[in-house]
Amino acid sequence: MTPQVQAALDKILGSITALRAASGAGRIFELFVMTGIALELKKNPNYEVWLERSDETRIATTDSVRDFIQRGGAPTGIKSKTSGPDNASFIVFRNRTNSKEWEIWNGIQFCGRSGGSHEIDLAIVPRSTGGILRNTGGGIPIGRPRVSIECKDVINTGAADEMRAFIARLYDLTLLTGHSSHMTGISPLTAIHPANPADPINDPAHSYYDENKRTFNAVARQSGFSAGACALTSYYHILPYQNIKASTTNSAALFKAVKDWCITSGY
Amino acid sequence: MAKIDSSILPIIKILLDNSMDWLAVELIETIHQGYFPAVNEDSLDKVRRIAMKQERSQQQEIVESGIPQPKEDDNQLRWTVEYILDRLTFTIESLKLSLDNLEEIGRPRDGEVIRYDSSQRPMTHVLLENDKTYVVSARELEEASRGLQILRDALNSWLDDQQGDIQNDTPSPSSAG
Repeated sequence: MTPQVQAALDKILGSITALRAASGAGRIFELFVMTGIALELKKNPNYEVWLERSDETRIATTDSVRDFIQRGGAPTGIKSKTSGPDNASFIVFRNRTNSKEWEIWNGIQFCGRSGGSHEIDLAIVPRSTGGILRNTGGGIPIGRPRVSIECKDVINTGAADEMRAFIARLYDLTLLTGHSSHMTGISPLTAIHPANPADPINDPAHSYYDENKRTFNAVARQSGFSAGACALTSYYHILPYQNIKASTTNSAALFKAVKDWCITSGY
Repeated sequence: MAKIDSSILPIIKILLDNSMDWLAVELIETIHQGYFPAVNEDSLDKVRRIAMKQERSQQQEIVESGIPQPKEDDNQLRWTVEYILDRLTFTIESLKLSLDNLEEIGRPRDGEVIRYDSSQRPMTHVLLENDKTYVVSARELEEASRGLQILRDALNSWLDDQQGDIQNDTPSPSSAG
């Protein structure tokens, strides 16, 4: 390799040190999708959207420190509010009409019925879920996010195994009314735990079909999908989005689809 | 499954030397796995519309499993260089747009008064991984974009040299025999 190649790499890696991190490029792609959705919601006058640190303080325009923090490495749950502002940041949105609040999370682990943990790249959950966890010492939420998006930034075409893995994860995370007999630690059972059981939006569904229908689930790829991967999608209500790159019409379509779904669902 | 061409080894080595193991592994895996033909946008749009309608037990027309195609060995070196440049370009652009988005999301609503002071800083992206902290702001991204252009030129120049060497090492039909 020539010294010119090394010098160019030094310039790039000296500027974006995150490219030396194993999860760097992947997290950057997730941030792109996360902020794209949040900005789309903010453009709608019905939503108020803001950034929060892990201790629930808002990141204000006038703050002297305005870090938006993502966590790489081994995935974790939600950290306690008392552990301070230096854990993963998140985005909050509030529906001005019904006052419901939601949080957009990146790279958080969720616990399934099996007891296994599953990282969801991008999740939208009720504000009460995050609030309860942060104020009770932190932990891993149980159940399925209302919006789950798997982000794939690799350039190679997505194969069927990638889709199978996502579907399997969502199924393990699904809590249905019929599961209350063996999910005895959660009473009353909610679709995601912890969450406010008095809000009907947190009631568990009766069937997988119902739960698939009333949640938004998508795979966002920088490249495309193979036919094998596509064959698994619509039956399980998984929306495949390809060519998700900066300023493409496909990216705009994904962000709009999430916003439209939030509006239609009363989120 | 495709055979990995040893001509890409200098590229793999420089990635490893610069702690970009993730990209080295990704390249090798991608070449080894082969390439799945992608579904076109119209088919994908149809799939999404069916999923959105959410009819019970509706199956799709696309049922073929997809067979990976091997990458041709003689294209691997150029493909590898293009992959690296595409990957870095995409990542830098995504981060640039994300920081712009964060600024916009963090901005107060129209009509709300902002009191700026001299200590105000632009949004910064921080990645925490295994006790290490990686920080980047918009200013560093400009520098990275300049570095990317230099890398593009340097890699293409190196590639031309490599392929020139390969041609020089290959006996011409007139000299053979």
